[in-house]
Amino acid sequence: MFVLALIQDTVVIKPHELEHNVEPVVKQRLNQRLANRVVPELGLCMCVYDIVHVGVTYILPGEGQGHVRVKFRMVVLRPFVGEVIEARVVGSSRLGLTLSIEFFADIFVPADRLPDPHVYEEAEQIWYWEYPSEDDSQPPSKLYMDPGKIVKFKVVENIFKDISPDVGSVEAKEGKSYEIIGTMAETGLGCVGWWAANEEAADEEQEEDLDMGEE
Amino acid sequence: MEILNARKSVLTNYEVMKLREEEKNAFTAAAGKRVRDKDKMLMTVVYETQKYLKTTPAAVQTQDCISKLVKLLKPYELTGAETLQIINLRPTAPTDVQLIVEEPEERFKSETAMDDLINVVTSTLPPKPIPPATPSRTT
Repeated sequence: MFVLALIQDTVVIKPHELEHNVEPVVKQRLNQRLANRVVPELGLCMCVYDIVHVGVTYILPGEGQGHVRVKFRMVVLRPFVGEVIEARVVGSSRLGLTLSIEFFADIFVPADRLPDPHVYEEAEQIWYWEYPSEDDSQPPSKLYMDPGKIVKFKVVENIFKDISPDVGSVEAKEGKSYEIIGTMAETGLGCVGWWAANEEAADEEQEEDLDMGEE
Repeated sequence: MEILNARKSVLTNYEVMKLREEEKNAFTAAAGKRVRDKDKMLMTVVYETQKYLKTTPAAVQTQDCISKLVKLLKPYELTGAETLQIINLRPTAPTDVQLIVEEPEERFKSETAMDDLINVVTSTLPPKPIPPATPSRTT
């Protein structure tokens, strides 16, 4: 889920900070600049891991602050394609499910990537997986994916969008600079409870699905 | 700003959590004076990441048990990404392993190989904290 990225940048150090050891100041500056922000094509920056190299500090004519070139490593949220992550369902609509991992909530599972066959319950605005029961006389069981449930999903795509800061409020709300597209249509994905080995009912389902997977 | 290497290496959830704890401690020590508005972003992301990672198996892992597991996983010839996933997710059922490992049928020729792998994982890594109960709607 997390990667280390090697980044080079120039940091400004205020005159009154020049006397101190420069590293903590640089680290603080970089964290202020990047923590909890999305860098296009990189991912969501978390915090500075360490400072690899601090260059020479330059003071330009006419100002008192020091400019220093630094190389540092940053902890970045950038799951690889095919990675399995546990998340919580936070939103449900006709288009699909929105998932959250607390610090990042732009994870989307489109409707066609939900476990098949999936049905949308218009009245309650939730999706369920219509799981066929062994006995033909019994109606298929409905396995709900309602908000609050913990689910496992597999990363399909990382999408970056360049959102300009001065768009209208509607666009700003809908525009996501970084979005993860996931899938739940695979054995073992979906609500963690479905596959839990300690539940008798879930146990049966699991065995059946194993058979299905091998075919 | 230049990105020199977007993927220098990968981190396990455990490593991120440890780093976060250090970060938080260093911060509370330094912030005896005052927390500036600019630093709030960092605090927010630290808090939320921690909140998430506390619900994952990483919460109870230690450096020792992870390095032990990595040694024990050697004979299975897993890729780096697969090992990372096993540490992060701590699979306890064959379905979990099938998700993580590519082409499980070919890689695990015998039925027992996968069970062995699960045994290794469950015996080396401590069980994850019990998640808060969610209302079940399965009929």
